[in-house]
Amino acid sequence: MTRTLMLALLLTATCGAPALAEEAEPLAPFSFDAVNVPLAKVMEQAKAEKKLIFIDFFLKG
Amino acid sequence: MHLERTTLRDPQVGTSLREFVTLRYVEGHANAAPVIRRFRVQAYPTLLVLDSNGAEVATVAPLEAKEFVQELADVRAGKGTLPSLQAAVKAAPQDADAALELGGYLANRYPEQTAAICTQVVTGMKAADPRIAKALFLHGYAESNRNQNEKALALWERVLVEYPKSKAAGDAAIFCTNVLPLLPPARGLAFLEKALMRVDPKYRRSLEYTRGYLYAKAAEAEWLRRGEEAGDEPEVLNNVAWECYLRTWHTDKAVGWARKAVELSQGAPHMLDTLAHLLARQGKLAEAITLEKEALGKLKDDSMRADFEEALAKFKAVQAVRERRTAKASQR
Repeated sequence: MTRTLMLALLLTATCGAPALAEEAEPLAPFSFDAVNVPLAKVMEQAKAEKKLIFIDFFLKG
Repeated sequence: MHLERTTLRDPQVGTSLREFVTLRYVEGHANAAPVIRRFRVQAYPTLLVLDSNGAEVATVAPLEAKEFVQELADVRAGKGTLPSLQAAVKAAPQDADAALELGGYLANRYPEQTAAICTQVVTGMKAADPRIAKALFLHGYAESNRNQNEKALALWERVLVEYPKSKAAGDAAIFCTNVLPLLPPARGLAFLEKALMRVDPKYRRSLEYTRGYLYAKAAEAEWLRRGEEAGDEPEVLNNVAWECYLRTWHTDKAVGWARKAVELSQGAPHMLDTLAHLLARQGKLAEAITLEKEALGKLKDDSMRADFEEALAKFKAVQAVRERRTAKASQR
């Protein structure tokens, strides 16, 4: 196991499993709750959890 | 990418982000498009915080982990957020500082709102108020964000001329270097001559670098103009074409001018040599070799013979390499 993978697993465990993830990002250091999910759906989750929504607009490549 | 490699790998960042529902939109995905449009996202990464109704709360700068964690904490505490800035302006409409804070927040994605705010701030102030400089700079920045570069430059010119010792003058000196290359070189150079007379010496270097760049662009524009206005003067056409060859400017146009010069001069050797060089640059080596041979044949003065022979040898060598490559490729 590489150090990166270990850290990724550790962070996934810390941050909880992605609830709405459409695309898994196994080696990402941080797992987003949702990727490319319609905003309305994420708003429902934010309302239920009484949280703000953090969005990362990301350019691939 | 920086965010991916550094900030998001930090465990403290992970812990801070657990306080949010986190969402990533990848540019190009169908679900990302309406959100990108709605929040006018133009650069990547852009980090936004929304409330659960989808209203904008804050932008977060992609900083190093420690600052990023602090920024997330500030957002959660309502510090520097869009609603807090809007509330401050609403509570004290005459407060120029509050207005400029809001203007600064909006400048990247809502520049027209920033422009309106800054105009109002400047209108309501006495000329001696140093905040005018900040408002003028910010207004210029907003104008540059909506591609109104001439307007931006005019506003920054005012900052540099009227408030040369202000921090805003330094900001104007830095940001104008992004806009100047987009304008006609003569306009940029006129601006720089004024700016360089007034700006704090620590900003001179970047302005001088930009001035050098603009002089080169101005020279290119001037040669281009000469080529286009050369009419039927073969020497002028040939001079412009040769300058274009030396500086790798506008090869296609230069070939046209060089051909016309050759035609008008009925094959003057130095003009044949110019045309041959340009054609070689276009990869038309056979024609370049023919013309260079013709130039050598017509030479009456030996002062240029060595140069022509060297050019001919060079064209032949390049042609030989190309032929070998083509032969190899056809064998595969």
